[in-house]
Amino acid sequence: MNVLFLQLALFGYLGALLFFLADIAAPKDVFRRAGTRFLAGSLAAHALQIALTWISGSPPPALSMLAFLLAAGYLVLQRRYALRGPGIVASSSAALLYFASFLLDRGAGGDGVGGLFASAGSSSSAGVWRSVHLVFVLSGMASFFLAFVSAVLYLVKERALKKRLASALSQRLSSLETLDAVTSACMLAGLALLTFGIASGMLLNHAAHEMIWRWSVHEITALAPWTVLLVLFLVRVSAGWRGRRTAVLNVCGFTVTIAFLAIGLVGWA
Amino acid sequence: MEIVLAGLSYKTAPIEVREQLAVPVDAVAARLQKLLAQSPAAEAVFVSTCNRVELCLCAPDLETGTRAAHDFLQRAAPAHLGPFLYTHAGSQAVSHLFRVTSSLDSMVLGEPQILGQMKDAFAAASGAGTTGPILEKMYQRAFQVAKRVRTETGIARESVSMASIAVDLARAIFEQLAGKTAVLLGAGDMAELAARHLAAAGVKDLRVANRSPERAKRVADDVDGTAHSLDELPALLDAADIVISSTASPTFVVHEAEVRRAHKARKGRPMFIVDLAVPRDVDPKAGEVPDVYLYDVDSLTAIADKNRESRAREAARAEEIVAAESASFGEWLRGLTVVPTIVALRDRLTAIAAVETERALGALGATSDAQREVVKRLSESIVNKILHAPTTYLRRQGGDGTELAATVQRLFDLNVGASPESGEAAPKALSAESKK
Repeated sequence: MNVLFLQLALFGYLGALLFFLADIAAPKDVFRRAGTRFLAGSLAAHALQIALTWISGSPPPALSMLAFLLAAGYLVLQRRYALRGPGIVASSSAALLYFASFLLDRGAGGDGVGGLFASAGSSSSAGVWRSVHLVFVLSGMASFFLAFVSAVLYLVKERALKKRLASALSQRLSSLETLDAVTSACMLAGLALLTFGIASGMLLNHAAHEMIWRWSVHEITALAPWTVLLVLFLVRVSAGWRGRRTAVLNVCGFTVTIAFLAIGLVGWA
Repeated sequence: MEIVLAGLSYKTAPIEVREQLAVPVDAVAARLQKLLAQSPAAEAVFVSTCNRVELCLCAPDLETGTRAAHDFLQRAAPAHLGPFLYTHAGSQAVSHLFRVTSSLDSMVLGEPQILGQMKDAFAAASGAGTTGPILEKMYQRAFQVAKRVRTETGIARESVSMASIAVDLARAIFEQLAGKTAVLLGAGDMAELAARHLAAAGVKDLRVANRSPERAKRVADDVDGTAHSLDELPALLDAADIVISSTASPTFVVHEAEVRRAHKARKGRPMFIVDLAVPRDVDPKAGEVPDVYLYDVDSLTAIADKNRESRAREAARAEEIVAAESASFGEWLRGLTVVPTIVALRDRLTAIAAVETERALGALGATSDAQREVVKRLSESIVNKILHAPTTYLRRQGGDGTELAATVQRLFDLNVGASPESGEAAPKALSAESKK
């Protein structure tokens, strides 16, 4: 049953990707609606798969959780903004992360749906807190990634408009205003979620080790994007930066963070 | 008489060249009159829009007509126009004029403004007294063809114009135009159209700035906007999300430094500037300012081309109409070569009839007015009946009737003032015939 939901979710993500691609190739509302429905359907299957994994006592896989939160975050944005373009990245990234999670778990000797972090799935009180902490951190990461995607698309579109290029791709992306608003919203959400994630991590640290900060790879991995997001937020609020400059800062910030994330994953694994 | 049409358009010359040729409206009449005074051309019409500059004239032959047209255009521009100029003669010139007037040669296929611009150009030439029977007939026919194309094809189904494309493009930057501030520089037809499109797109804060405040107020009142003076430009730029400029200024109205300052004041909020004027109103360097998106008339080409593709089928139908009308006008034009002969023949026979009638009435002695009238009508009727068959035959021959016309001239010892080959006498004869 668990594997069936995993397969359904994976196919759903790929189906959503195809419809979002079709929406860019030949913009039609029917494609966008179908893509959104496929994504919502796969998200439901994914949620069931995570729930079943949790109920069975196995820990939820971090990459699978990240894929789920990414797709969910995109759906939330889709309800609020007229998005065209980010759906392709969101659905393909969700599919890739989910598949990578499956392969990593299989490689670790599991059935492909198990978790990477045994402690996160334990039934103890600390285990539950750890899961909450993880969800916050991963949600923050997903938001940061969506902000990055939106910023990249902003720069692509901005360049096309500036150079007066009439390429179909740039014309069919969401407006600059929408992409800027999405970048800001994701940035703000990412900052809030990571703040909660880091705070809950500090509490966990205190409970387990009687110290709130140990400069572990995990902590730095969470602190790096949080710092970048805080700087971006402060610049936006204090200097009133927006548009191209914010997008460039976001892309640079995310690239720096990815380096830390890579280190963090190696440390975690 | 040969029809020659020379000029350059957005297809052959970039905006930097076209803007050099822009002639102030009030100077057109004098320049056309000077052209006719200094060259052998008999008629001339000059058209200057943001997309094209063309001179159409009637000259005794192709060579002198082409030279006169090229000299006229070259005199207005400091740059060498040779590589940018096109020249059409005869039926090609007719077909080109019909295509231009029907908006088949426009950057935005099917846009309605060109017809008005062509009518204005013709009215200006007519007012200056530089049109004659040939160009009058040709332009009137062109307006009829444009009307036919608009009513019989779907080429103008949607209201499309440079202004509407500019407003559509604004949506690539702003998701909603409702809360945006738009500034229109200039208060001409293009500004009026842009104001209507912006208002229809939901823009509530519309500000119209113009050199003449009265005209600005008239345009602003139409769309519940506010009128401003061009002196308020810095403050207007600070507030403007969208700027559409279409003044007739020969120099830049908006400079790079002003846009740079406005960008700073706006803290990076994007600004969309569309310069629909030729010569341009906005310094092209303003487009280099971050978060400022500057489009001039030529930059809108690619978007207009997209529009062109979707209208290709309707355009094909419109081209058929233009081809048929061009052929029909060509026949009329060719028929002009025999008109002087027909007119001379009629004059000769009418004169003979008048002399013989007077002689017959004299021989009859005392006659009443009614009797004199009957005899006169009889002679006129005989002349008309005799002329009917040869006139119809000559007209049907059109351009191929040159030899026949020469034979008729020799048979009846006619003097038409010029050889039928040159067709030089045709316009005068045509005027004389139309007056009868």
